[in-house]
Order: sequence, then structure tokens, then C-alpha cells
Amino acid sequence: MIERGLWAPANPIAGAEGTYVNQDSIRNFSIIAHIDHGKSTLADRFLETCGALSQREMDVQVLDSMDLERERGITIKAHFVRLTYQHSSRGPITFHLIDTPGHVDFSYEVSRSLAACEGALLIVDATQGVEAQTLANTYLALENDLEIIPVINKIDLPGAEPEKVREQIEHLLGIDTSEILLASAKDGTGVRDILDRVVDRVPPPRGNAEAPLKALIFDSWFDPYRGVVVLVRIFDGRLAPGMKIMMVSTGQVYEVEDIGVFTPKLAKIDGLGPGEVGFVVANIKNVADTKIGDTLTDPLHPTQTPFPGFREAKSMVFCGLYPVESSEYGELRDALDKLRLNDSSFHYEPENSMALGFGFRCGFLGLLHMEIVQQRLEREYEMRLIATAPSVRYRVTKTDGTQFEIDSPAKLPSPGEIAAIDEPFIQATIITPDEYMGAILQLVQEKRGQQKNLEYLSPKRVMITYDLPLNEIVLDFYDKLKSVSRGYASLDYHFADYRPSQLVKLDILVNGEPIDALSIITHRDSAYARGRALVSKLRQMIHRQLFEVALQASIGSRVIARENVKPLRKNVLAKCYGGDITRKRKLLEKQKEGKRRMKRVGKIDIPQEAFLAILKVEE
Amino acid sequence: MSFTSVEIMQRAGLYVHIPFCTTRCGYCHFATTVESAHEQYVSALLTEVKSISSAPPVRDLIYDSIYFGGGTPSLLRLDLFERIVTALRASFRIDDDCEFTIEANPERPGGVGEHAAFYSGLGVNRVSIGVQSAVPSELVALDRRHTIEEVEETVALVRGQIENVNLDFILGVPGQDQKSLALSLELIRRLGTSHVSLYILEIFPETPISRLPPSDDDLVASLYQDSCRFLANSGYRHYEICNFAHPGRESRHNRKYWNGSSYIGLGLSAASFYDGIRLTNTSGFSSYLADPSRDREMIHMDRDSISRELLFLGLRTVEGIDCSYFENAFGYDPATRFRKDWEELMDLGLVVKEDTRFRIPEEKMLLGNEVFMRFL
Repeated sequence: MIERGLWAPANPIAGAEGTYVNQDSIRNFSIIAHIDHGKSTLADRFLETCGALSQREMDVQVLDSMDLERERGITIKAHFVRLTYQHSSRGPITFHLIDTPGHVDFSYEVSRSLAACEGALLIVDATQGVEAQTLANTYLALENDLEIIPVINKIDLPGAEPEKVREQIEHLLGIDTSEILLASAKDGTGVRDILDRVVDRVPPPRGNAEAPLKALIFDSWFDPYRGVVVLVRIFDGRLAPGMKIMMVSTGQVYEVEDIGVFTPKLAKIDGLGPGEVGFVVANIKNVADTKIGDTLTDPLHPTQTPFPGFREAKSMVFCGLYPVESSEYGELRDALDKLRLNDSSFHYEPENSMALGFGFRCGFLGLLHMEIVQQRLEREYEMRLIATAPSVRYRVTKTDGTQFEIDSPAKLPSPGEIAAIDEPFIQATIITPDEYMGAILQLVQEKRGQQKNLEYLSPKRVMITYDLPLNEIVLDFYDKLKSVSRGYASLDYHFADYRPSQLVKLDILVNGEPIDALSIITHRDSAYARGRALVSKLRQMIHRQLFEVALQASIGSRVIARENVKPLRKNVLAKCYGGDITRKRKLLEKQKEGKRRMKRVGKIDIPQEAFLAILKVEE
Repeated sequence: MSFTSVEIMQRAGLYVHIPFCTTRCGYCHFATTVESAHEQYVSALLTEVKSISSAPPVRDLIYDSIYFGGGTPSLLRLDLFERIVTALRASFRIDDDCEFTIEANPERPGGVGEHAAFYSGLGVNRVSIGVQSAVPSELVALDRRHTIEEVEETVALVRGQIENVNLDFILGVPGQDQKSLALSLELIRRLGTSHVSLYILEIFPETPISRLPPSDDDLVASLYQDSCRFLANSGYRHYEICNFAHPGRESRHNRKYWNGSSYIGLGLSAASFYDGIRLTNTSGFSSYLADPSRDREMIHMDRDSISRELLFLGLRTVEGIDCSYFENAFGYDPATRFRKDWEELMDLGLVVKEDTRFRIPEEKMLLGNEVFMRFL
């Protein structure tokens, strides 16, 4: 695994002629693939073929570098690696392989990584076929005028159906099937063919070394020792240590301290020329100052043609994050501050809940992003957190005509004051084997979807396009989709527009007291079913207390569901004599610790997970 | 010098663990063995008696209770039993008025009933019999091999020699309900022994009984309340969560565990408490045979831990705890120190205050842990 904090001494690139790589021998490309379609294995094969790492170093899949990413089998941040490939007739070729995130939450980052490339490999699993996210990312690559090289991977597997997959690729992308390569990253079949095809088909980068510096920032992260590390692709001009650089968006100027590449080991180099990709360290303190998509240029001779500019990360999903222990509020704030140094795409602001005390309202790019941030807070910062149910941003028009947006159910005015609510809709693309189509159509109907398109990609594979309210997606749509399709359906979506909806706030009362952190905004038609299901789930999750606990769901002052948690009647260590005391004491300590992990609201201990009960209900 | 003033006032107890059983019961998690290495075990035990009884604080204590627990002490060969008793009397300062209990199973023949005169001759004056249930199907669930007839015969034989008898029963046996409990309670009334213990079955993972469906907590709570009522009507005083006795027949030995008295535990896995030290012997049979002091765990407790432990142990009893006692012995008033906890507990009805005492009312005793954990 690459240790990003570890800085090796200056180490000139072996085989590089002079300081800058010959532009004609550069090929910049990335890999577009669905999770588990073999991207990491293929990247490992490329490294191996180019002799980049020893066998021992090959034991880990090197492109995924954070624990979290490895566990999920996905790559969150884009990385790149510089490889030297010996082409049979053209001699040494310098590849910059740029890795892209594979999840819909990070589509903007994907588009910027692709913008740094001239070509992209489209990897499709021969046993699975084209998936929704792959398709979305391929369209992004086409928008960026990239040369697409389609590869059908895993042809060694017994269930491989390369012919059907060919048909899907041809249908979707209009690529001649004779152009499609067959490979098995696992056993190495076709790997050299892929690299040769990259050399032949992907154009070398254009660009003028004498023109003013123009470099695209396509990734950045915070290194605790060196400050922000920025990944750039040079389009024009040259970049060398000691030079002054300027961010076009902010006009801020920095001095370049170090430049380098990953081979995949970190290696410092003396300069980057047109077409080259590398990292830059320039004593930048805050990752938010290095916006992905921004242009890096020479402050004295700024480029006249900067990139269209970065897009501010737009939070789509929101939730409240609270410390289990109210006294840890300060620690949570520090952890969020530090985390944001590394991830400028999530936002947070203080929020005060009647039930949970002081915490933060946080905004994320999407559900996966939300989960990643929560897990990092828990693992890297050892925070014990309560997360509230995810929500989206609504547009509210009050009866007095004023309009505003809310990202939390608590901020919704009382029903009498609301003239209209608009909610965000997304356009979802679902690709699935056709045997699950019926169940999926039923699901999207239940979730208030509106059908846009339905087409067969090949005789057994269907692409369904639906408009859906984002608030249905953030609750439990993805889990349900996976469950009704046994994991075979893939989903991609993008924001569509805001539409007026009949939305109401569903409150949960515990012994008559509303628990603000449990409120959700839901469509009027599903409010009754949701309320009943939520209360019934909560009854299972809230442990029996020393008194009876009444759980109610209400809309405004109208109670629509009620369940009781019976009082606890037995909790005692029966036998307790000399030999038992030490052990019984330990059991009591364990019980006490269990209680401590719950959130006390009023007199009631509520387990952390109960605040996400809405995600667990079966309606 | 004794560690607390309590120990000066109160006499100490001796516990002897006899780990032998004919079979291992399905719910048992104690250190027991079905090996019959009786002689070896007793010889190790006597080594331990010798070494521990000469240590200064142990040597100087006066003992007014002896308790042979197990396992099944009545399975021990009589000559070996006598050897232990002789050694105890030779090594410890035992009060003339000493409560001397032996645990026994009601199996016949060859059980405690036949040998009651022998035990009585050695000074045994209390017998605790593990009846567990009067219902054959419950005895099967518990893996017990005796019959109700054997119980009745054993109790009659024992009481011919030793009047003070306890019967152990278990609540929460899989399959137990109000109807079957009534049969057990009826047996208790019929036998009318001076003491009854009602233990709530605790299911330990990996014991055979853990494979049976557990009893519902609400049901067990009702059975417990029914039992308390029944026993009160039958002349028993409820003096600790699980213990009931005719007035004046409370177990002197067991009370020592809850009131801070010293006790010395001898044998496999036995625990001692004296001079602020808690010692626990190994529960490995062969380790113990090789050297009784091997793998012995020793915890030096500070005064504060002792006092807080005494709070939770004392609250197990019907009398509860006396704050003035804590002021004398430990220099603080629990009423002040834990004011907020007491207030919450009283609000919930889990404790009541009477003068300087706090206690758990009988109907809340099954929620004892909710009280105890406050003082850890």
C-alpha cells in the first residue's frame, strides 16, 4: 500500500530522457468499470507487465490505498500511477493511468479525472454485462472526447457470455463488436493486447511547452506532513520546483516545493511538461483551496484559456451527527474540522436538537459519501456518534409568500404556514437482468417513480429509466433494489429538478414528548404506513425500561400509530456468594457500559441505531 | 490488624469446596469434576488448610460458620470428610457456636440421609439439599436424576438427626409455569424445612440447557412474585433476593458474603475475602492438585471499592444498607455521596428510605441490577 505520508528522498525517474517526457510517447488513460468487474486486478497486471513492482509488493492491490476503500472494494479518491511500457515497435511509452471513483456520489470527480485523459478503457464483466454506473461514466468519457477501448474481462469464468456482452456494448455505445478486446485480468490473457491498443488508439497529448502554464487539478488531499498534495495534468507550459503558481479561481499564489509521480512508489522529479501528470506540493494548508476542476497557471503569464472552472460540491443528502456523550461535542467539532481538511465536499453547521443536544447538520454528495464520513469519524477519530435519518433539501413556500430551503425536518414550519413544498427529483437509470424487471418496476412505482424509458440492451438485459424523488432514494431504495434483484440490478442517478409534492412531517413521540431527531418528511400517501412501521420497529429497538414507554407517530396533532414497550420486570443476578462476586461485578459493569452507549432522552435510554430505525422498516 | 471495623465485630466464615459430582447437570457452570480423585484432592486441600491458616490475619480470626459446598460434598468419602473437619478444627479458631452446613443431593440410597448421624457427630448442624423442582419434566430439563420420593425420604432421614435444613429450588426452568410451580411450592410447604432458596435459572452459553428455549422474563417475574407471596403465607421471611427462612434460621454463613465479613475459601475455585484482599483459587483441577496456590488470583481492593461493593451486596438483603454504618466504617455517608442516584432510584420506586437505611422493596428485588450498577 502506498504510504502517502512517507516521503522518499529525491529519486530521478529511471529511463526518462532529460527532465521532461517526450510528448509523443505519453498515453493518458483511465479505467471505467463497475465494482468487482476487475479494475483493480487489471491495474495490477499493468503494473506487473511494466515491471513497476516486485512480486512481494504485488501482493496487495496497490491502487486502493485507504483501508476503508479496500474494505468496500471501491476507490474514493482518484489516484494515478506512471508506468513505462516497452512497446514492440515504438519503444518505451510512458503511461499515466488515472484511477476514477466508481460511485454515483462522485460523478463530478470522475468527470475531472477523465478530463485529464485522452483515452479510457471500458471494462465489462463477461458474466455480468454492462452496469448503470459504467454506462454513466462512459457517457462522461464520450463528452470529454476520450477514445474508448472496450474490454470484456473475466472471459475465463465458466459463466462468461462474451457474445451477449458484446451485443450490449454495441447497442449502447455503437461500438463495432470487432473492436472489443477479450481479456482475463486474473490469468493475464489479453493484457498486452490492451496496452498495445492503448498505445495505438489513444492519441498522445497535445499542448505547447512554450505557452503559459495551464494545468488541470483533478484531485487533492491533505498530507499531515506536507500540507495539501495536488494531482495535476499539464496541458500547456512547464512546471518545476521553485516556480510560482496561481489558482485561477481564487487568484491565490503559491511556490512549488516539490513535484513528483507515483510509480507507484512516490518519486520526486525535476519538472512536468505538456501531457504529463504528477503531484505538486506547494505549502497549501487547506484542501478547500485546491478545487477539483480548477486551473493552475503562472501568475505572471496566466493562461488565456483556463478550464471552465470547478463546480462547488453540492450537498444532496443531509443528516444530523451528534456525540453519544454530550460532553464530546468539542471533540466532534475538531474531528469534523480535521476531516474537512481532507474532504472539502462535505459541509457541516452546528445544530441543536431537543432530544440529542448539540451536534451538527451535515451535507454530503450522496449516501455512500455520508456513510464514508461517518465511518471515518468513528474509526479514525474514535467518535461515538448518533446519526439521524438522511434527508434532502426541500423548497418551502409559506402562505405569506416567502420561500426558503430546508435540509432538516425540524426546520419545516407548521402545516398551517406552508403553501407549497417542492422536493428534488433525480433521474435514475437501472440496468438489470430482465427476470427482476417486474419486481423493480413495482418498487419504483411504490417509491413514486415516473417512467421515462425502458429498453432491452440484449435479449435478457433491460435498462429502465425513471424519475424518482430523492427522499425515497435516501431512505432505503438502494437496499430494496438490491434485495428485489438479488444484487443484480445496478443503479445510477443524477439530479433532475424540483417538483411540488404533497409532503408532511411525521413526528415520533416517546411518552408524549416529540423526539425531534426521529422526525421525517414523507409523502402524505405513505405517511400512515411509514408511521406504523416506524413505531413498530422502534418498539423492537428500544430496550424495556423501568416503566412502560408509549411510542406514537403523529402528523401535526393527529396520532396515527401507537405501540407500547412493556416495562422491564427482571434484571438481577440471582446467586451471589463469595466465589461469584468478582464475576457478577464484571457482568454489572458490562451492563452499565451498555447503558452508557445509549442516548438518554428524558428518562429513556435509546440505543444509537434507533435513530436510524426508519432505514430498517419493512413496510 | 483487621482492615475494617466490621471485621472486628463480626466473625469469619470458612468455605470448603468439594468439586465432585456423579454427573454434571445441564445448567451447571461451577468448577466440578466427575473424576473420583478424592484422596488426591483432599490431600491438596489439607496442604492449603495448613498454609493459609498460619497466615497472620487468617490465623487470628474467629470462625462461627463452616460451609461445605460443591459439587456435591455428600459424595465425598466419609473418612476423607472427617479428615478435613479434623484439620479445620486443628488449624482455625472455631467458635463453639458454629453454624456448619453441608450441601447434598437427595439421591438414595447411600446419600446424605443414611449418613446424617455421622455428619451430625462431626458437628454438621445444617444441611442444604438441592431439590430444584417437584416436577419430573423440569428435573429432566435440569438433568437431575432424583425422584420426589427420594427428596421426601432424604429430608425425613436428615431431620431425624439434623433439624436445620435448606431446600434449593430453581425458578425459570424451561417449561415451568404457574401450575408446575404450584407443585414445587406445595412440596416446600409439605416438607416445612427451616430454610428455602429460590434461584432464578441463569443460562450460561455452552451449557446443555442453553439449547432449550429460555423462559420469558415476564413469566419468571410472575413466578417469583407468586413464590414470595406463597412463602410469606407459609411462615418464611424473605431476607435476601433468593433466600427465605423461618425467623432466626437465616443462613449465618451466606450473610457474611453480603455484610462485609471475612471469609476464607478453601479448595478448587474457592474465594476468600479478608484484610481488603480478594483471593480466588484456580479452577483448573490438575493445577490445584499440583499446588493449591498456583494461578491464585489476588486482588487488593482499596477502601472505596470495598465500600461500593458492600453497597451493592448489602442492597441484596431485605434490610438493605445502613448509612450510619458506612459513615463509621468508611468515613462517608452514602446518602450524600450518591444523592442523585438515590433520588432517581426512589423516583422509580426501586429503593425506599427508612431513617438511615436504603433498601429495595420485595416487589422490585428482581430489578436489583438496575440499583447495583449505580455503585460500581
